[in-house]
Amino acid sequence: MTISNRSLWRRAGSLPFAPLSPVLFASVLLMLAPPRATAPLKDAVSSLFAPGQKWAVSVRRRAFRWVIRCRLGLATAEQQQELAEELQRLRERNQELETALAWAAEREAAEQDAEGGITASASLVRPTLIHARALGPQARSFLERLELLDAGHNAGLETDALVFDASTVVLDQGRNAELSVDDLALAGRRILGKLVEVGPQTSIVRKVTDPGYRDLVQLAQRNEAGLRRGARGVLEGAGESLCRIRMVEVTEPVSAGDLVLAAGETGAGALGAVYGRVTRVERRAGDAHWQIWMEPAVGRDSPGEVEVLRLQLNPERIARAPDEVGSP
Amino acid sequence: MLSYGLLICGAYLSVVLDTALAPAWTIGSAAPDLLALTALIWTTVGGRPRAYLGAAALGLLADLNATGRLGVSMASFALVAYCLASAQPQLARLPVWLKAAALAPAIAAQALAIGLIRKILGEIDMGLATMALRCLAVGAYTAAISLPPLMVSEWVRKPRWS
Repeated sequence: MTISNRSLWRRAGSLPFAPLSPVLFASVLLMLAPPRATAPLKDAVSSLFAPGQKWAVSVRRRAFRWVIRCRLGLATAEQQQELAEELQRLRERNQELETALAWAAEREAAEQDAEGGITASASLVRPTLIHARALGPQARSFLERLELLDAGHNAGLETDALVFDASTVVLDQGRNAELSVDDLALAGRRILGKLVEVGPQTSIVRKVTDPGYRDLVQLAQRNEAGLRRGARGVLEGAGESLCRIRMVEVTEPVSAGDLVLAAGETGAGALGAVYGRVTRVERRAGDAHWQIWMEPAVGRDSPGEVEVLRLQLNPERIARAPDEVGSP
Repeated sequence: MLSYGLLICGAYLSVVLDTALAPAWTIGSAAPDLLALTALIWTTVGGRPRAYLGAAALGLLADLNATGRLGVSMASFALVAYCLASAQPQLARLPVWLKAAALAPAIAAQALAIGLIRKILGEIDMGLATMALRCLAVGAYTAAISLPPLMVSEWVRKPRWS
């Protein structure tokens, strides 16, 4: 019996998958095991692999970021320049639209007030926009040769300085268009600066960021109801990319992102002209006023064409005046 | 002893990469099965008489990291490794690229066996044709990936300076 058993085992051992049978038997037993019984073992194994998996995922994310950075780096300088210009154009357009929207909302509110029984009288002084072109270096050089570059002398500026100082904005309109010193130069509804010198045919603009630039401004916040005007302050150019706004008390609500609107007597306030946007707000200990920095709405590159805001008497009021005088 | 250490490290790395990098390197519905690859490389390289036991252990590890019942991958890995081990002397003579090509049907068969058993157990609901196609894709993809580790193992076993 023992001998026959041994021969049986030998025969079984010579079968093709005989060495594998214990493994297959164990597998079948594991398959029959209820999932509840094997769940703790699975949990233990998954916690064993969790650190490695976290590491692998972080490596994958880093690699992905690196690939994106490389792709961006491969873009040519020309493409990057085009994209940057496009971005700047879109930003400026966005700001113009925001301001226009805010202005339209305000005007609508004013009209509603008028319909509600409030009669508004026509203003005696009315702002008018005069179109002007900024002169480039070549045009300035040409005019200088013809001795027509006639603005700037009173401000102590030499013609050479005007020709070679690319940052100075020279307009092709002057007293011929009845422009005067302190008129605002606008690019759309964005304020570029003020006329600092007006000649017979040309004028010079002091940009918002230039040292010595000062104007009264008003902060405004956009909310669901529209534009809410807030505190007033004094804008100052400091020769840097950002301007300062002073004299805003710390009791006034100010936050980064607020719009800075013109609030002077130049008529720009009525037009809803915008200076820029608040980028930084600080309060020093014991200080009664906020430290506010503003990013100008007009970028470093001056626009080629601008409008100069000029105040003039309202013709309606002038025409109506004799009747009003004659009436009882 | 060193080879067992390499097997453990390879198994850990395979599980980690299988689960963490699957979204990144899946093509269509096919992703490489690194654990299966490790098991088959362990079986084909080195000429160990009971290499299928190591493959079975790796199969059990695959089961522990998958949803469903245990033992399915274990049986499939062991079965395919056993068949492949019987052809090991012929495989050893093949160049690396042919070895990699030979791994493709083995991995596809392994994946198909797992799919069929899980279908019988009622754990997955997939048509046979879809399953076969997906297994073939997994086999081809994994075989393509197997080239670098196979080359490394070849260089380790037959140093160029010897």
